[in-house]
Amino acid sequence: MSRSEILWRLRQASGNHPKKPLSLERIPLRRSDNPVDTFTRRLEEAGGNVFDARELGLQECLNRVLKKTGANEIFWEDPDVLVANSIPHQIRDKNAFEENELVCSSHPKGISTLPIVLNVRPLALRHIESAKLSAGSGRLAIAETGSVFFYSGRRRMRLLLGLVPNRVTFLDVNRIVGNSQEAFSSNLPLRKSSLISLISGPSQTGDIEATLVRGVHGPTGWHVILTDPSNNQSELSDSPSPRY
Amino acid sequence: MEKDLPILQSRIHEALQDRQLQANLEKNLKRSSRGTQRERIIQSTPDWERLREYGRQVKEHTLGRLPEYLEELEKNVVSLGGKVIWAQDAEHARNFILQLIRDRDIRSVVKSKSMTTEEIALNPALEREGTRVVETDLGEYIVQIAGQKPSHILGPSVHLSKDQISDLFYRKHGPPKLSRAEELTAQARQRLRQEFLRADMGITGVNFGIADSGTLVLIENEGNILLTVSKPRIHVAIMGIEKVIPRLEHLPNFLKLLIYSASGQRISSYVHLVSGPRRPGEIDGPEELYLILLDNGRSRILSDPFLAQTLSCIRCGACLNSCPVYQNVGGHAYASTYQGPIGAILTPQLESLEAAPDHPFASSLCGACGEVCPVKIEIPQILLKLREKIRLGKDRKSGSIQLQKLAFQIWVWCMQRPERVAGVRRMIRIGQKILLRKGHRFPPVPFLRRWMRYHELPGFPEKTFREMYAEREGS
Repeated sequence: MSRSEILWRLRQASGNHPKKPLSLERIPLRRSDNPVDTFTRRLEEAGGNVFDARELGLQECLNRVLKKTGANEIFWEDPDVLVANSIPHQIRDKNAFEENELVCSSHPKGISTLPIVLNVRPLALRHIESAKLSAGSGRLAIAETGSVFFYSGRRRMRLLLGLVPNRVTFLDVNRIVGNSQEAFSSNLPLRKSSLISLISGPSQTGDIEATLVRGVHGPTGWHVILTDPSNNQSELSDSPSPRY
Repeated sequence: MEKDLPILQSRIHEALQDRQLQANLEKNLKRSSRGTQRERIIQSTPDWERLREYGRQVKEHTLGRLPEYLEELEKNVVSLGGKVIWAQDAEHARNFILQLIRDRDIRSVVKSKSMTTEEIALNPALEREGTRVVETDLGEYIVQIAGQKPSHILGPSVHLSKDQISDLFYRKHGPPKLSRAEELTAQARQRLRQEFLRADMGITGVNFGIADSGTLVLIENEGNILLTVSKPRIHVAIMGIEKVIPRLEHLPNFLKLLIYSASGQRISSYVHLVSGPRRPGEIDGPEELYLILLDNGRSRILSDPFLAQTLSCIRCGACLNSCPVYQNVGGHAYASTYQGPIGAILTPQLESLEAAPDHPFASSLCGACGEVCPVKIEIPQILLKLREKIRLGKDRKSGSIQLQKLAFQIWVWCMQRPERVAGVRRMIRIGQKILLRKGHRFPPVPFLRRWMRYHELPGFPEKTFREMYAEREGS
């Protein structure tokens, strides 16, 4: 009843308005000459850290993230992260991924070794709550804002993104577009993913005397490792192919 | 409260005399870097005026076809597995949520900051029902445990100092006493973490509803919305019907308009696109999604083609930050959900002119609000229009409109002949010899008492310029 009543009232009310077609002036897009540099600059301005595996090598990038976060374990949102970014890895129990278990890798003393060995943990909140570092893939990124897209989907857990205090995102540089118009017109999987989040740095607040505090409910540490799977990093080319 | 003053004016007087509030507003608003950041980013955006015009046009177009776009949004939300509820007023919206809570045996609710839920007074209703409801945005959490209401659309605790928040946390959470913003934030994070994990229902507002995809856009910086739409099994999103935009391609420009104006950031830390409840195979996310489309007076506003632009508001808060009245009295003085210039035009229209007759007068008409509005709402002109309506309504009621007519008829009669004007002047001069205080101003006149509280009514000079000139020429 409310529905028809409200719609009736709105039809009456909007009848007084001119029905102009929407003819919008096209606002020129400001394209970035170097999207990777722009992305890096913008994300660092927002408090994030960017590591370039094309220069430093993947292992060194991971070591730096582990050192910065003090973590000796990484919880992976999805084993596809490793495949998509050509990260050499081995898996102990390949059935585990079909059972919605948490996938993690251990890095004693905060040092990464390749191939990354993946273990499984039961899907329990206590593991997520005690985790220091989670890892995922950036599906798409925007240079002008330093933003990375997260898509919800099979195996990709929202809580790993929201609860764990540090996040490292592996981002294929070929997935960085110049600006938000390009990103939003790139067929986002709105019907496949119930949540698409555009994340642009650590969580933050200014609610106490307008003082900027980084790290509220979401991650305090926001790290991005730039990869280029289409042009394999030298250290990866000698690595054993993923057993997955 | 000062006697004989309307409630709003009394609150304004109280706010102006509250030294702590004045110090907090000075520090948190006037000297805050928010305005500077906004200016900096806008100056670095050469197409800013084009963007504003874009926003205005899309909103104007959408309001002209609001029923069609809302039906399209509904169809697409349903096709994604969500449910849509149309609520004609606050009570209807509250009742739906309360019934859902009973049906699903909900014990605990987490909420993200939402002015729409403030508008429908949701928290008190949930608490009366015995449901635990916790605000998760830091500013909202602070005002909730302080037993207060938000004083700013975006910065709910802008009226409080760090020391006051520190005292509050000490009283509510116990020792240790914390003094740094980082420590206070960490304590709130720790406390709220458990609330997220045990909540059965998450309630959010909606920044934009995208008609052509059924997507709800939620914008935040803290990460509380992400958790609110991740752990609880039910997500209820409450959206004013004016928040719909036609297509996803319009979103990027609206993100710029909103975020640049709100915080001066290039983009907020999080922009979420929620498209229905969790899909098969997804590990977390709500099993059920309800979208409440709230009218609550909006269709009435829409019926006036000029005033309807009020509904274009995207709740950026820029008009509050730029308003000299708001900067000096804060949000609580308005005693309404929406404060500042947008509150001054929205409140009397959402409620009624009789319910908020003083709001349109809480403005100096300096025009700053209209200049900063990212969707070009003509706030000063709307204020004047509302003032006119209120004045006419009052005059009709009191019959003073007849008196006004008579006064103008006399004035017209006088002004037709110079000798009549001179006659009136002579009469006033004779009268003011008895009335004038200290020889130069009139004492308070009963029917001008309010006006004369802040103004002086000087007496007429002994001689006019013409008379003095004539005397000088004659001598």
